[in-house]
Amino acid sequence: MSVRYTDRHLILLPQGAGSAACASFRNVADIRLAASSDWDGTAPGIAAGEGVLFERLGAALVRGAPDQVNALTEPGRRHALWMQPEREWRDCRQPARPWDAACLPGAPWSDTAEATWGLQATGVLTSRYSGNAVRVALLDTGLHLEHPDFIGRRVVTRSFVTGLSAADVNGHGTFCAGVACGPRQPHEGPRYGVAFGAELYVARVLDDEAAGTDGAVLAGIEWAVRSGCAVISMSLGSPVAVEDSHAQLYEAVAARALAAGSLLLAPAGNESQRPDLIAPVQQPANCPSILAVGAVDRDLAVAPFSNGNRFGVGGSVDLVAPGIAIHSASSGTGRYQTGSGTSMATPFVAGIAALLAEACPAARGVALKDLLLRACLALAAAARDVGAGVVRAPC
Amino acid sequence: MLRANVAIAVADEDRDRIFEVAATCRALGLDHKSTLTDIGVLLGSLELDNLLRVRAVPGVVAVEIERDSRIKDAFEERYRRSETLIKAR
Repeated sequence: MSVRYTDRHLILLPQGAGSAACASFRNVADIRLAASSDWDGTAPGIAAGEGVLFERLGAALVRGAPDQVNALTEPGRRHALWMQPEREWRDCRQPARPWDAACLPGAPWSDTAEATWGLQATGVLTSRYSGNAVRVALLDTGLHLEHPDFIGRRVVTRSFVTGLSAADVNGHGTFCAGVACGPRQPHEGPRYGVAFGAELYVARVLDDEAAGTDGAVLAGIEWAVRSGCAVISMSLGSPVAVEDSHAQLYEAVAARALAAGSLLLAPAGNESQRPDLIAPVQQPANCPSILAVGAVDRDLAVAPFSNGNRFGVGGSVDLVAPGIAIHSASSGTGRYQTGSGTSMATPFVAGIAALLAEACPAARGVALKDLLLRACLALAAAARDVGAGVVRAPC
Repeated sequence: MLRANVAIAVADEDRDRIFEVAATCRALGLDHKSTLTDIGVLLGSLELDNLLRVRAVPGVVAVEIERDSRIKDAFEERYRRSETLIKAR
């Protein structure tokens, strides 16, 4: 769902133009301006070829044909400094379908017999979407293919680690896949997965020790893009120094993935020891075209380990998701485990991105990224720590 | 001579001739392992002395020396091995 506009335009006038704008608008564009004190604000109050002048603001609102409006911004004619279509604003108490975020009661949240706290806090439980038919790629340590919660599920796997299959023995990949795309009704315990209807693509890019190289990660991204995955979640990264800039190569790759309709997500990193130390957003999350995900706790407070942007240089956190005491699938004999980290927060965002992608089938790449950020619930914490806020599922 | 694994990004406008760019890089010492055409990246290894020469090849926008990715999360198994803390890294 894109922003909705009216058939009117907002125009910023040159400094001091004031009442002189009335004459110039009439002469140049055949648009007659009335004073704002004479306007009652209703749509029929501005007929075609008319406008209202907000003299004290140095702005005007006009309704005109495209050639009339364009005449005001022709090069060499400085009748308008800046112009944009008038947006429709919405009442937050009346969510608009289909992507507006769920209305959520306050924290703190806790796990219940039905669902984990993270699913409750992000509005997943009340969402009517499951990520149906949306392809989600997880680039990690693989997947425990015999896990009862994934048996019978269509999962496409590929390993990019020499000598190793996609079978996960570390557990990190199974955990993240579970958070992003785990089942609606697990074999045991509460529901923990977001997009249970999504098509899961698992690329193994990390070895049994959960370590990997750029070559494997890039090959995994390529495979996911080629496979038509709308969302690519990579719970991995390398710490950087405060003064390090982002890697040009990853930025170019992420921009190309976005252009191809694939949104990349990565964790902000876990090197901080708040409040004393805030470590910079790690690579590759520090690339502008990759969404950097921070972690919050049950109170929606920033996790003490979650990286941020303390000095205004380097990468920024784009949004946050539940990342402390997260319950999900395990590759071990225990079948389930709890974990904490921005790695756990990232697949939350991936799953919710899949829900949004189902809700808005035309939204892919940059459009899906914008939707995710606009749907976030703003938090009181500084934007450098939480970005747009905590991710929320569409209603 | 020090040799490193590298990833080479090819410019958007040169992606349709990525194999030509790869050939030029090979002539400058790139041990070319694979070509990721969908994202416009060449993978291989290179002697570090040749890094700047490859970076200067027309159509190359970035050369990154490969680095490790690692994860650092805290895990705690439940149900069958409750309360056991395992550090992933």
